[in-house]
Amino acid sequence: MSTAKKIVWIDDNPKRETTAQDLKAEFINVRNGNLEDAVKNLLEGNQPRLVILDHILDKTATENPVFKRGSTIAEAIKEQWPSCPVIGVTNLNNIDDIDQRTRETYDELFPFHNFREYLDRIDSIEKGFSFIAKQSPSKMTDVIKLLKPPEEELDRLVAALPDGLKEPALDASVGSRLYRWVDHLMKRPGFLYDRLWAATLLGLNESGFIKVEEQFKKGKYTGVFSVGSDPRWWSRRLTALLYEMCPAEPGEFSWQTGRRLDGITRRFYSRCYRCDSDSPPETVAYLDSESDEQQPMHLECTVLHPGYKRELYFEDVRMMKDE
Amino acid sequence: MVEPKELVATALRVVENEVRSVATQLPTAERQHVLRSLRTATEEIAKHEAANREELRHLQLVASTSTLLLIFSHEVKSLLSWFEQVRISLERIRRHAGKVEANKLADIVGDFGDTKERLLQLLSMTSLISVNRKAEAARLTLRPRLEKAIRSFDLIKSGYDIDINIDDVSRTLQVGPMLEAELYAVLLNLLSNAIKSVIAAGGRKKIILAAERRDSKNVINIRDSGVGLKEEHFEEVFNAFSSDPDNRLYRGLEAKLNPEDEYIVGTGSGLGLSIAREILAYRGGTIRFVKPRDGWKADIEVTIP
Repeated sequence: MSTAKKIVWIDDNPKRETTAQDLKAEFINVRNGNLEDAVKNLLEGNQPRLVILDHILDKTATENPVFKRGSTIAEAIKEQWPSCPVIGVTNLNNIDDIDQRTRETYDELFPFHNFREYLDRIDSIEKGFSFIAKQSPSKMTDVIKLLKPPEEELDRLVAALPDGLKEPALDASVGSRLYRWVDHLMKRPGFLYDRLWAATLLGLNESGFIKVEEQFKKGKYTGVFSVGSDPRWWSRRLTALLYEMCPAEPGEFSWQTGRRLDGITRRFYSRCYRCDSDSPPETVAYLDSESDEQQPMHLECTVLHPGYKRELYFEDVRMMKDE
Repeated sequence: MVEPKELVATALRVVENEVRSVATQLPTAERQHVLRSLRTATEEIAKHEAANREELRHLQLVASTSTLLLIFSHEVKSLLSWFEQVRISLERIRRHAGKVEANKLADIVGDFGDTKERLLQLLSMTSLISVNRKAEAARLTLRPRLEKAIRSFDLIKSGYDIDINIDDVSRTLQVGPMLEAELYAVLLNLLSNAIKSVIAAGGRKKIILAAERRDSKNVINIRDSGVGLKEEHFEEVFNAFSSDPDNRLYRGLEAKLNPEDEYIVGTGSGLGLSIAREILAYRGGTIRFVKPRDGWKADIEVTIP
């Protein structure tokens, strides 16, 4: 299949052209223009590397209700080019206000007001889809390889792989499904840890982890859809690397061993947010069921978060216990 | 079918007719006593009903502005995108500028970033009242919400050199179950009142918040160095439309508040405290003024489960 080496951005807000230029995207301004023709021309051309669509397209000259939302155009693009990533942008107050089915017609939907914060993610989406298309994975093991997992995670990853990523479901649309799964792996700690979780695993606060981060670079997730500015680490690789550097003493946990790393002093120790003690907190928890803020805490200082189900192979999502 | 707005008046008429017909059979003195009591009772009920109607009308007006707020937040978001575009352009220019200009531009870029952060935070609070939001009453950690509410007043706080201290609010204290929007409504109203009061009083402007668990309830105290309130008005100020019974607050504000800042602290609808009391009562809490100690001028005590 021939692929146009371009990113296309369709929008009825011409002010967004500057942002499109930063992405080196071809900006198609459809304000008072014929959106149907613009979409037809797009679909008649070569597959772009990435398409960005304004979610609400209510300022075009097109009366056809099918063309009032970017999501319906995303459907058409996905039907023609299942391996082409499609991203929606919106000015809506809250992305969660858009129903889930509509949201899922896009590979990702970003709010425009802080769009620039997502440029690295967009870059990783574009590169990830392109890499997957080139590899065209046909077996489950091919999919797993795309994640570049450490040896010790292979079995668990295979066991946790969703049905949509196993044969015979591996068609041209595998990129979208894999993106969703990697996104889940990045958001829900289990296989992958973010900086706060990684630090807590080693008994450190985030400054402490930054101090020793270089020593754990082999544990960093570098597989498909990894984002340099929002790194993750393989949790088991972190502990394996830790014990290589600092063999564990009998009965010692990683959060105790981590505190013996070179250069770590008491000020780099993690503290339990709830009881304010520096005896190592074992988990990271939300402050309450409505809060977005997470802090290290002792397991006994937390309870299960009612908004999340338990998931095999993943950490429990917990929140601070009431006083 | 009786119109809802006529319901109370109609009911009163029915009761009045019934009482009058029964009263005709009573001896004169008793009849006069009953009719006098009837008149007093119906007048009181009618007065209360009129006040309720007025309050409802005002609340409807306030509620109607939520649409305006959503439109406004949409506009602010467009503005934020523009901010971001300008920030990026300035950043590009900075890279090619001389050292002095680059430093100046770095300051401007930094200011843009700070303003954007503040606006984003305010936007996140307006989204709490979004009509589509599925809100559920939950136990809420007080301190981060308090910090967020205080940050909403950052401009006025620094502009008038107001010290707001929350050292005595435990990081782990949770309140509720209540909606996040309800907690913010209470906190913003109380903070806005305290801020107005300390500005009106002038001098060293201090507000201190303390919270502790006492007798299985959370007790929050908001103390300020403002104009204070006479003890005889401690209850009255919780009535709707009663905002400044001592007539000291707005006189002081008029003299000391920059007119441009009125929009931040509000001009005083007289509904803030009554709304806070309604919310807290619904969630099993209370709110009252208590006699201030240790040199403070006002002390509001809130209890929440």
